[in-house]
Amino acid sequence: MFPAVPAPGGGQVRVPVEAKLKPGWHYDSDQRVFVSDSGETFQPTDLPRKAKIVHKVPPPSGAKKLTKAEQDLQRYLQVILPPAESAAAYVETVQTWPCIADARTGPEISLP
Amino acid sequence: MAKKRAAKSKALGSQMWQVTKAGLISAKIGEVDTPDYVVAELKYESPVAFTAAGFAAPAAAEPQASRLNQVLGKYDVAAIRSHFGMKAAAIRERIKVASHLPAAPSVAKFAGKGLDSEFIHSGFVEIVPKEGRDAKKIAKDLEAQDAVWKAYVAPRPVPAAVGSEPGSRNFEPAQGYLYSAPDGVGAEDVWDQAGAKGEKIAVCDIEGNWNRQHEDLPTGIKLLGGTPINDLGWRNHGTAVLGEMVSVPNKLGTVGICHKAAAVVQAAVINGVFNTARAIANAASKLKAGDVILIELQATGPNGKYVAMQYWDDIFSAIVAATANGITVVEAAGNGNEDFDLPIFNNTGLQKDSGAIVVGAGIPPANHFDFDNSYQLIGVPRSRIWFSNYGKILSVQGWGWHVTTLAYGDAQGGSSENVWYTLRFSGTSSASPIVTGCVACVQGRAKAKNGNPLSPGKVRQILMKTGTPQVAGPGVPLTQRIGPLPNLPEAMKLV
Repeated sequence: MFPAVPAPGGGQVRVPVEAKLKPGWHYDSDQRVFVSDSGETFQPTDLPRKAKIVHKVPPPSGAKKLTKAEQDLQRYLQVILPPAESAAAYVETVQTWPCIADARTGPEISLP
Repeated sequence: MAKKRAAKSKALGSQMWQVTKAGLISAKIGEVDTPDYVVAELKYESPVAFTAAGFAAPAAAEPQASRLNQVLGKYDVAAIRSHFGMKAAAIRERIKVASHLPAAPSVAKFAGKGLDSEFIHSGFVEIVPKEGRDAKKIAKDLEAQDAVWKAYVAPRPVPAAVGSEPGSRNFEPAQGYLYSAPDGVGAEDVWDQAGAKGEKIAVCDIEGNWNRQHEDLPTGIKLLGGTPINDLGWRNHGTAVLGEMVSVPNKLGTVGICHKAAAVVQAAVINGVFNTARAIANAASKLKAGDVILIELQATGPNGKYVAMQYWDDIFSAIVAATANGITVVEAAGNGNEDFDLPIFNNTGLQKDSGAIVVGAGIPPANHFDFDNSYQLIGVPRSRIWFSNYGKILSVQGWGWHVTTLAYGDAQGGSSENVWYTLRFSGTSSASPIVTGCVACVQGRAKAKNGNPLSPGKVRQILMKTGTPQVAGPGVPLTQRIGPLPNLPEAMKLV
């Protein structure tokens, strides 16, 4: 129907859960904990072992003042699950976390 | 451009030579020893196979095969073989699939029913006549047959001129997108201006994989980050994209629009998952103002159709951040036949300005290889091609059909991917590198002339203002906006 080259199967490219933090929260990847500006913390315990939470775009190094767009980028995370786990099965779980504004599966990407 | 090319032909001594940007080539290409051969493409739905002895088909389609053999019987044929070197069993398999296809089947719709790339390749037949002069007649006779979609004489090799490399053919004459407006973007017309080949500009292609060892790419194309996807389809795609922009101006293959630019690549897969926002941010962190990022990806939107990547908020922010640092971002609009101005896209990146140049796919006049005007079948030149997304955020268009570049192997195959070329790279994928190449030419010229590159917004404004306008076609009114085709000679006047 429409020209596209889908991503290959076979687990070469996995689908993550993608999440956006509520304003006033950040993720401390060293401590693996979510922290709010008011000092509240949240540590997820409902993910499979070996699941990873990563910033979509890591904070830039150095003391450079971030633009509004760069600040916005700090709110996006990916939950990367072990190969046997389905991202769709964990969207609802991630959505219930108090620090998360929005969660969904990663987009289905292809070549145009 | 044809006039311009003719004017560049000149008599040197007793022999005619033609001046191309690659150098001198002999105009008497009919005199070379390399035999011409015919490439015939069987229609998907024609249940016809072939062997070294001729065409064959089951009883129901026997008349089709018989008529093809009658054509071949009129000539002295040296060889019949698969254009892709496929084995006889794979060629026979095509009959099973073809027997179940309707007329003019959609590739995507029937992909799950066997209409895959192997099936498509199985329909390419090479016919080598003993007398090269018969090739044109064979092609014409075969193309008149019901079972054949297209038949043509394979592009001729360029005879060895001073310093030319042996081996691959020269596909430059088929790169119509380089030609003068209104057909092309007029790249060849500006290359004599300082900086206008993209000098001192880096172009970064973000997608999945590339064959960076291709013979017609410059050496040292660096992977900035990410993990390449190990898949031939993705590798062909990235290689084709690079070829449009930076293939080397020698006497083989193609020549890139901005062939003096420095190409780098960034894979969109990071940590085993797609992360386009990070790919953009990482590339931007390693580029400088004036450089160009090309986003060669699309994804399925809320209507189940492919949309541009800036629909997703994080990717939108990453583009905004890159353009704020002076990096021009070019983005394929996607091939979903989607209207970005629909209410469902209100308050999304498809109705906001990220600063990117969003590129739609337009119909070319011809690819200057298929000189038979068959493109009239798909629409009016510079009108929106049926699959291209459209809307107010689209800035400019590029050729979305049958772009000649590297990879795939339909124009020149062989056992090594390093010598593959195509005449048929298509989609907003083929359109976007054309625009990216134009941006690099403009920025290279700006640096050479003014000492500084233009802002991304200024580049976009110039290309939109000076481009050859989009035209309407049947079923594709101008309200379905994809924008004009860049016109580099006019653009350079505003640099």
